[in-house]
Amino acid sequence: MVSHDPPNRPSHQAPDALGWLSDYGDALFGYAMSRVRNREVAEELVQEAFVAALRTYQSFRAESEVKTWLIGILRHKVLDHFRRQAKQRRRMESEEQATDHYFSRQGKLQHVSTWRADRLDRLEQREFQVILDTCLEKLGGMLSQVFMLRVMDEMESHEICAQLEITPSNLAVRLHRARLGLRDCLDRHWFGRESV
Amino acid sequence: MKSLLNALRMLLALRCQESTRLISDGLDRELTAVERWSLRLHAISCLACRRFRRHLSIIHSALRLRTSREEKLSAEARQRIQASLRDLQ
Repeated sequence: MVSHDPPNRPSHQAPDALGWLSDYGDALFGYAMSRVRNREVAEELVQEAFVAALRTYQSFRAESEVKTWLIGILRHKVLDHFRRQAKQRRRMESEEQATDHYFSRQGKLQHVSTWRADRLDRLEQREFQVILDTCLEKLGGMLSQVFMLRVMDEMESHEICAQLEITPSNLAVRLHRARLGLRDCLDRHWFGRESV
Repeated sequence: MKSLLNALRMLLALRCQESTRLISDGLDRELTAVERWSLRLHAISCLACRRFRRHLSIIHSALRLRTSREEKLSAEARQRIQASLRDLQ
């Protein structure tokens, strides 16, 4: 085979930013919304990502898919947003959330009900997603951010620490709190200790 | 000596607070042998922590199912972004 230039080799074409927007605009917005849960902020981050994509177009490698590349850029924008929020918080509040109320006086973990199959079968439904969102929201920024980065983005702990400028033990404390809080909230509101 | 005593205490008298912390840590890093055994021994007598572990794995898979949402960019946002891209090109 004679080696021709691969058909979609982008460096030979003008970047089609408007095409990216119409093809992947919704997907990027969906990603941003799942992280920041606020339309205005999500729209802004998507815009920043497209602008950055157009500027850094040269770094795009033909092997990777355009969508993956764009989501990667957006992910950095989301991280920047988290970092900005974290800085503001550090100035504003100390945010020490105790975990004592999850445990009884004797130190036993409490309110851990059986999660019934009829509820487990419906985790993909809209109704559950709404409750999950509410519970993530209730955790507060500090906790929900690290949790989303770790679980949804599957980022490694050391990477999260580097990005958010926190220590490994601080991260572990936050993830522990986030898991206690999220589990408790879902136990309460989805698995039925309390009706919504 | 102190660390040996501490290991013994962990093995014999882990509290739920520490147990849930180790369960959480175990999802992010490799646990030490003492930590693993402490958890196992605690779990024998603690239904709540056994459930806690199961619940976390359910929550993790539920979240992985939806790393993104079904959403539509509004027409206004789309136009704004288009305009800013045109400015650059």
